[in-house]
Amino acid sequence: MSEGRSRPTWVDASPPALNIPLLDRLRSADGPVPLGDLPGDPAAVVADIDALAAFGFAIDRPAAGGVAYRGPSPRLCPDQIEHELGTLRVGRRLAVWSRLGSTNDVAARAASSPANDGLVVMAEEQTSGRGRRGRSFVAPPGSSLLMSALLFPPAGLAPVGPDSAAGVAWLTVVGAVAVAELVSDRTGREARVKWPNDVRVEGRKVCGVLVERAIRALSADGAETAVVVGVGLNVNVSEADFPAELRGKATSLRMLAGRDFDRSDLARDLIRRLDRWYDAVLREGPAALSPAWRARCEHLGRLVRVVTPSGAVVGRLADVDLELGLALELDREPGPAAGIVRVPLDAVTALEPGG
Amino acid sequence: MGEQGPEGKGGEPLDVKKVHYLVRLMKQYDLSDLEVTDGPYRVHLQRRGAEAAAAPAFAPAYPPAAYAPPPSAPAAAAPRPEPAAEAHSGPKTIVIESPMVGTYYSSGSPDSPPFVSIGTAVQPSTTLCIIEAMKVFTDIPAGVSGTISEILVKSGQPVEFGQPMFRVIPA
Repeated sequence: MSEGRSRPTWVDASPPALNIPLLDRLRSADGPVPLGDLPGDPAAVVADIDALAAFGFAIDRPAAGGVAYRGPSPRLCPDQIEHELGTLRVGRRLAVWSRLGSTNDVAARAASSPANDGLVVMAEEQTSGRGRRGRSFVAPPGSSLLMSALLFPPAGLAPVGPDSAAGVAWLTVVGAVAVAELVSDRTGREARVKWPNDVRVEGRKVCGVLVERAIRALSADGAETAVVVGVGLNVNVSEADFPAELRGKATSLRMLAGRDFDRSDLARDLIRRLDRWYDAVLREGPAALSPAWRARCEHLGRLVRVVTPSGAVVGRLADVDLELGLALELDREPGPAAGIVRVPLDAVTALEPGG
Repeated sequence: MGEQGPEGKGGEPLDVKKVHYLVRLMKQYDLSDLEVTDGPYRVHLQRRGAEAAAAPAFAPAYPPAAYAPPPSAPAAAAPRPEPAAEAHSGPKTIVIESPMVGTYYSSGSPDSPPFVSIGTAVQPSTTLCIIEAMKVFTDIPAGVSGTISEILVKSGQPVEFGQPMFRVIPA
């Protein structure tokens, strides 16, 4: 049929959704599944398998031995990510792009409508991603998770004013803690949050979190702000993919686990974790995040140098808390209780290891 | 509508027309709070009522200090800002102050041009700069229309809450 002739535009405006329950059934099977064991009309099942294969999933077509799932699609699959996502806000809307300047920029452009609360923008490739200041690593297309979530936190939780720095720190921590937990669970390796926004495993960076905020309006109750939480997680990246200056300093899930990962499955997991932590803060305040942050903090117990506008403090990092700030055990002041110093988060311009 | 000031410090009488002009500006741009230094005069205007509900990001009305640092903060903690109100000669300007504590950046990335420079015409929604704290990068809109006449901070410099960042000649 020729394009545009006698075909109403309102029919089949979007391609048929992929049969994700079928995909999950095949994925969870140990080996080939006989076609007859798959629920539904066999002809429809074959058509659904064809559609999955056409999308890019590695599936052995119906044959004597049955149907076998061999691996994920090389491209992110929105249907798979959204299937039974079950989140309250994050991922309510999802847009997956093949190539973008920056997922953060696209998510921020959607901030004009509050209906986009929870919008997740992903891209296979970013041409001007950030790493805002300094070295930005360009992941090979299709290798990583480049994800930005647009959120409209209530004014009291994203203040503009004298307390804004401490007040919005949790937004970075939500991203970093969610990723650190994901990396630990998926690789079995200890992932930690390097102050304030990197996730590292044994000192090698696997992910960066970048939060950008636009002040939309101010009212008597405070500022209405739109926030974009951007995550760049190295997934199926090899040592050789990193530029020479990053080798030994960067890592990926593939390098940590010695295998490749299904990025759509990871994306779904990450969206759920972001949503859960974000919701916890909305219900209970930033304090809800402090225990997880503390547990994941790379610097806790170590000697650190905390830079503030009025000078640097050196001491052992005894505690991190989103409301109380940092607790430092001062090195050169032995004595009862006298050695503990609290530094509010908004006073911290840098935190570095060592003295 | 409440008016506080003018707080003249002697010399020539304050031009009431200037105040009326500022009040009109506040209505026009739906500002809730405005502070202007004009020669010896420092004028602080505040609007009350629901019409200020959607005011843009200039001289913000601050939310409750829900996450204020503890009062026992050590000397190493951030000193509170001392908003400068120094006398300034030349055409009347609006000072745009930092709405938060953090590090000031004049551009979106190190290799891109600054958002604004001296002489740039700005609208209320024009992004003037970015202020970063805890890797949260906040775009700071102008909140007023006018022309940038002076930039009072350098990229990469820490800024305090209330610290003057720009002077704008109102349009």
